[in-house]
Order: sequence, then C-alpha cells, then structure tokens
Amino acid sequence: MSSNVSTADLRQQLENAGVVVGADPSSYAIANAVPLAVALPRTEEEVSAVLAVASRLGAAVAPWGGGTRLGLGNPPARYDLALDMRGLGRVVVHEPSDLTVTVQGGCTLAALQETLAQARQWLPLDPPLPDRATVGGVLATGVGGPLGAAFGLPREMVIGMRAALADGTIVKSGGNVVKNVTGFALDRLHVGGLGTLGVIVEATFKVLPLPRTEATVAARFTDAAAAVAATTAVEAIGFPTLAVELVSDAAWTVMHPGWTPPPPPDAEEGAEAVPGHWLISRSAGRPSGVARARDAWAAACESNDATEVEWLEDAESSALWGRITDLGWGDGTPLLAVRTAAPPSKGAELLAALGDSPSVVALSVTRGVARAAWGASELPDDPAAYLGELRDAVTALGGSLVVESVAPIEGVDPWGPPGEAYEVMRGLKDQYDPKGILNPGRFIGGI
Amino acid sequence: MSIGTLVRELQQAVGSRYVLSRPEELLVYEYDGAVERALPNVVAVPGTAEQAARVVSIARRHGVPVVPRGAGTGLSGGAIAIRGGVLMPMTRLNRVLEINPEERMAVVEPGVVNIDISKAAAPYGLRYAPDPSSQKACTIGGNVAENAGGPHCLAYGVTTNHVMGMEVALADGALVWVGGRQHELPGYDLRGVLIGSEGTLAVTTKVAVRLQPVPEAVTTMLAIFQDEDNASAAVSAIVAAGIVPAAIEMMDRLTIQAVEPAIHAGYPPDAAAVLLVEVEGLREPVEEEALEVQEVCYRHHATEVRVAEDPTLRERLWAGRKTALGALGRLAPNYYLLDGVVPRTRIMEALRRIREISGEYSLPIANVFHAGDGNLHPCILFDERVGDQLRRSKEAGAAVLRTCIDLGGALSGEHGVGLEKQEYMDLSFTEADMDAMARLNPAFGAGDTFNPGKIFPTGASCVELLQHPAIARLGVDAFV
Repeated sequence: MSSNVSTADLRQQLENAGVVVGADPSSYAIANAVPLAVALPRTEEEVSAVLAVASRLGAAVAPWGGGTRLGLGNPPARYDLALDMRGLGRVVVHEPSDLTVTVQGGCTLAALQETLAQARQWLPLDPPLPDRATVGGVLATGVGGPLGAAFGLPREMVIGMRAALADGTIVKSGGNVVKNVTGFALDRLHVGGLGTLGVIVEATFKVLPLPRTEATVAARFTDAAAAVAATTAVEAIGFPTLAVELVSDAAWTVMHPGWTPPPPPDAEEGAEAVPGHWLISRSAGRPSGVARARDAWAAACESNDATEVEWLEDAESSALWGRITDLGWGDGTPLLAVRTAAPPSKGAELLAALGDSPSVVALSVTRGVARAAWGASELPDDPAAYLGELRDAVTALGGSLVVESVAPIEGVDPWGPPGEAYEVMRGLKDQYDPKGILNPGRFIGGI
Repeated sequence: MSIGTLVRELQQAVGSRYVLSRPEELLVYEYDGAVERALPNVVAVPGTAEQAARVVSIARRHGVPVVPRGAGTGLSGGAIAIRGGVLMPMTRLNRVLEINPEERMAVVEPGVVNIDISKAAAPYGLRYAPDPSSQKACTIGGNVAENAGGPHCLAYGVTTNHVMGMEVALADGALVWVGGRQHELPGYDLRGVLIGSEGTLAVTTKVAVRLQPVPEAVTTMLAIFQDEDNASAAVSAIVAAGIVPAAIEMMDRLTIQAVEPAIHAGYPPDAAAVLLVEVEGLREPVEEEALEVQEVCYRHHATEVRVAEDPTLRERLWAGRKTALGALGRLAPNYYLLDGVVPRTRIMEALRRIREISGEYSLPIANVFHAGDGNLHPCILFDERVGDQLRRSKEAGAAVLRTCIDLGGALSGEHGVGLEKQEYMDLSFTEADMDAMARLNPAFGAGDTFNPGKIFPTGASCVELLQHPAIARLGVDAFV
C-alpha cells in the first residue's frame, strides 16, 4: 500500500523541516491502510514544508481534518503520510461589517460558528458533526447539509482561498471581497476535490446575519408524493425557507426515542402501522415573515393529508435541526452511507429506490438530494447487490450515487461513472499533482 | 492553409450567409463595450451547438484562435479578437429550451438575452436573479464567461451562484456537459472553474440556470445626502443592523449633476450623494426592513428618503441610476471606467482617495456603483483630443486600482480582466498564483484556441499600452 518511501527518511526530513511528527499513525488509518508517519504542522509555512518533503520523496499524502467523512472515496492507492491540518485552527479575521470571515483550514466548523455568533452572524453550512468537522475538510468533501436548500453547496459561500499545491507552493485565489472576477476561480478546484489537487490552508467566506427567529413545522405523511406536493405549493410563494427535509419514520424515531408510528385512524385494534415520512420545514427571518411561513407550511401539510402536524420555535427548532444534520452520524462516522442526487422532481422516486434497507433516510426535497445511513448491525445482507440496484435505479432517474463506506465494498465503485468531462478532470490532476502524491486513487475515476 | 480555405470550411460548417469576411463586415466586430480594438480575420455565426463545435475544430486545424462573442457589451475587451482569427458570435443560439417550474430551473442557449430568461419564467412566478445593468442586451453566454454581477447580486450572488451546469465545446471540438440539472454531482467543479474564465478555456453552448420565485413585495428607497461620507457610513450601518437588502447602489455628486439635467430624476442639484436601497421578500418583513433602512439613513443625516412600492414609481427611482453612465457623456467625450472592489467598510476611504487622485491628475472622476458589495465603478472623464488627458486618464486609473488593492480589495468585481486589466494582475497575484491559474489551460487542452492574449500579463509596457488608448465614447447604451 505504500510507495518506496522509508519511514526513517520521511520522519527525518519532516523533523529537519521543523515539523512535529505525530506519535500514532495507526489512528490515521483509511480503509485499513496505515500511513508511515503523521505530520502535525502549525503554520502555512509548515504545511508547505511537509508537502515539499513529500513531493521530494514521492510520498503519498492524505490531508486530514476531523475524520468525519472517512468513508468517502476509494481506498488510497498509496498512503505514506497523514497531514493533520488541525494545528491550523484559527479564525484569522472576522469583519462583521463586511460580512466576511477568513479561517484556517483546520478550524472546526463549530469553533468558527462560535466566533461568528458573537457578532450575531453565521456561515449557513451544516455538515454532520460540526464539533469535529474542519472547514478544510468540509470544503474538500464539497457537500453540506439541509441548509443547502436555501444557500446551495459550500462552494457558494467561498470568496477566497489559500491552498498548498502538491509541491508545497502556496497559491491564492479570489480575495476577501464578496464580488471578485480577477483571475481564474481556482478555489473551485479544491471545493469538492477531496484534497486531490491541493490542501486548503485558509478560506474566506461571505457570512450572513443570524436569523432573528426561526420555526419548524414537522408533519407526517403516509404518501411521500403528497409531502412533495405540499412543498411545491409552499415554495412557489418565496417564503423564507432554510431547509425542507423528508425523513423516514425510522429517522424520526432516532430523533424522538420512544415514538412509534401510529396505526391508521380507522384500523382495527392491533393493525400494523402504515410506514410514513416526516416533512420537516425550517423557516427563519423576521418574526412576521416566519409566522406566515409557519402557518403556510402547516396549512399545506394539512391539505395534503398529513396525519400529524407539529411545530417548534427558536431554540427547540434549531436543536431539532442539529439532530437532522447529524442523522446517521449520531454515533460517529457510519460504516455505510450513501448520498444520491437526482433532478428535484424525482424526490419521491429516490426514496422508493432507497427502500427500507437504510437505518435512516432524509431527502432534501427542493434539491432532490437524499442521504441514507446504516447502523453497524443493520447493514444490508449483500451490500454490493443492494448498491448496484440502487445505482441502476438512480441512474435511470437521471441522478448519481456516492457511496461512503468505511471498509471498501468489493465490486462497488463509490463514485460511479465520472461523466463526459473525465478527460479534463484527469488533465487537472496531471497539471496540479503530476507526481500523484495527493490522496492518490481516492477520487472519482481513480484520480 | 489559406484564409480562403478557412472561409470555405466555415461556410460549409455554418452556411455561407453566416460567414463574414469582407473588411466592411469585419469592422462591426472590431470592438465591444471596452476600449481596445482589433479586427478578426473572419466571423462565423453558428446556429447550433454542433456547428459551434465544428467552427472550433476548423479553427484549431488552421491554427487560428476562436473568440466567442455574446452581445459585445463587455467592458474589459473580452470579445476583442486581439490576435485575429475567427470571431464567433453566439447570438443565433437564442432559444429558451426549457422552463421547468417544478424544478425551478431553465435550460437556455448561450445567445439568450439575460432579461429574456426572466421574461420566459415570469408566467410561472419565477425569475433569473443576476441582473447586470446591461441585462436588456447582454447574453447569458457572455454572463457565464465573465461571471457577471449586477445591482441585485448583493443578496443573491453572481452568475456562478445561479448556473447549475453548461454544455461546452472544448478545443478538440467535443461537446460535454459540466454540472447539470441535479444539485450535487461528484467530480471536480469544472462548471465553477469555467464560469468567469472569460472564454479562454471553452465555449458555452447551453446553460442550465436556477430560477427563484419573484418576491411578493419590493420596496425601493432613494436616500439623499449632503455629505458623501454620511452616505458611505449609512451603507455599513444598514448591513450592521442585520439587514441584507437586495441592492444598495450609490451615486456621487458629479454623477447626480450629469443625471439630473438628462433624466430629471428629481435629485436635488446640491446633493452630495444618493443611495438607492431595495428590499424585497414577504410583505410584512419588507415593510419592517424598509422602515429600518429609512431610520438608519436619517440617523446618518439623510436629508430625505423617498420610498416607492409600486413598479412604476420604483422604476422612476431607478431611472437615474440605470442611465447614469450614458448621462456622464454630457460631461466629457471620453471615459475610462474602472471596476475595482473594496471591502464595504472601506468605501469611505476609497472615495476620498479617488477624490485626491482626481485632483492629482486634474481629471474629473464620477462614481456610480454597487455600494452594498463594495464594487466601485469610478469613471474617469476626459477628452482624448486635449493635451495629455489620455495618458493622465490611464495613470489615474492605475492609481485607483492600486488604491483598491491597498484597501484589501480586488481589480475587478464583475467586468473581468480581459485586455483592460491584464497588466495589473501582479498587483493582486504572485507569479506562483498566476502560474497555477495558467495550468488550467493545458488541463482543458485549450492551447491558443480560445480567446488568446487575455487575462494574464503580456509584459507590455505602459508606453505600449497607450498605443491601445482608452478611447471609448459614452452613449445612451453604455451600462454599468
């Protein structure tokens, strides 16, 4: 699994460059591969030095953040050095009046939000496990959580970046102004690039004022298509919706232990409950707008035959969304998870394709993005067969499927086919990492 | 191969009516909204994506560049065939292919005019958000190339935040989709890299855009100030109050003096600055935000705040802003329009420094700009026929751009680098930064095929630059 790199050489050269070398490579395993060494840089210069050493030795490097998305990607083709970025954990500068913040790649999302909250601002980005997930890691995986419904992918919030290329060169793109078209948008390469073209050392974001108030309406439907119809009705008006998730009964139970689906109202005693989904919508902003949005959601749910409707305000609402964000990740990184996206009108079909195998399922209704995860004891009997069928079904819907599995599954390509522009993607890798030392083999199409 | 062969092959590809090569025909394509001029060798106007791809292949085989062109409203020279070759207007590709209200997206051809997307979406209560001031003329393909902005980008972001995917023709003539109609797609974000690459890496042949609901209520306010610093301070104070309006625009005294006699927008002639602030969304919060904005403006010594809620009255408040650049033509025959950005908290300093530069170079500079996101548009007014005004205008422009960078800003907020600012790139970026940017070209296999000679410094000295002077004349169709 490793290159022809000697551990002693690697450690020696890192130490010569003034970089702290970690004691425990085994805690940095990826798909059972353990690196020869761990580098613990504390500054941009040290990150640069680590990569210069790795580049010189041809050592394969895996940039490391909070380790919350370890299931993402192929097993590494080679793995010599873990580059733990958490030593670069500072918020560099927050300018509340400019609505911008610059933060180091190793800073956790929670720490960043805490700083922003002091000025009543936030970065509307909600991947699982924000206490552990780092800014660099979240950007490298390129996906957020339910808030994507209102704010899009993490890439939409990035206005500038400093990244270390494979040879250690630090490259800047963008800046710290919210509007900037000077030069190519190189930051776009690294957001969603899984650390295969460079290492995110620092990122600048545009941020927003925290909403003054928020409310959540949760309604249970036995027909997923009716929930989608309710969403379409409300969303046509332009309410201040932050997120709309349709989650399985099982997911609702995870968040509300003790809750069990009710039997149909007119059923005889002892009748089986009909499986259902909960449509959970989050509205935020000024109280007057939120009140109207909340009422509109409740009305739309009722008129589309929701069987139960609940609502939550402010702290209760945001706490529920923390749990929705962490669905599947509540006990740490799940052994198996999938993320699947299709044109948003195919949401109900996506849920049907996922079936009842996953422990939890959540569909971001307006985006057509569904995520599902399995608990350790609930894995599908034949994961390869299940995932193969799922991919076929999703492909037929015009969508894609990404499998996150902590242990590689024989016969399953975690990314699926790389699409029409694969040659350009390959070309980017050749240009930015010609020696192939950054997360080799882990990205789409074996990049 | 001769130019004759090239022309014949292009005629076969797009039809002979759509190939122009006579000098008087080419002249029309010599310039765009910017300052430089250059003649292409031939103009080929494709009618389909496949024809566009064929034009690219033919040009490549002949070793000549292809310069894609939209409406030619760009202000940085993006559509100028500075090294000759084939100029390829995309304006026949002007069909709206699909409006999908359920998925809130549309697929359009690159030659569709920006505002026509919103018009096509209007029956469904939807719109396309980015609104460059030239939106009645500029095309979505050009918007993609330049990552265009506009007044309402303060709240909604720029082109890249609203384009889900594109079909593009690569230099080898292959048509490929980058991004698509789904909201997440594994793989590198080629879409994001291509948007704003100024037509140098590929040519866009289809665009999938996000649509958003037309807001229920819109309120426009015009706040009049007797002191420019107070207006600048009000901009920061509005944001500090936790309000992110859809737009905050500013015009300074010189602009007001040009606009008022031309448009009769009702600005007091002695006003030092006006702010146009627009808030939109649900009725109730919009009413509250509008009151808060007025309160902030009065607290910063606005002498008057006019408020308009219905479309006709709102349009009247916007009229002065939208025609400002054309109106400046009353003050001087030539202008040099800049596009620098500063953090919005530094606007006051930037404007002061621009006033000083105006004094140092003895040239009037008008400011009409997107204050909410710090995107300045200093407009240096001069008369090329008089003395060394042309040279001074260039030097003053350089000083303004340096000021923006010194204040932590950027060279260009929405117009692009093109030919206009390429020699200033090193103010913002190191050699290593630019080297990394340049590596995109081989990754896309672009070579010199697309729009060569743009963005990156060519090493031309200032003297050489003056051979391509900023001779742009202001007309009613000038936008910013």
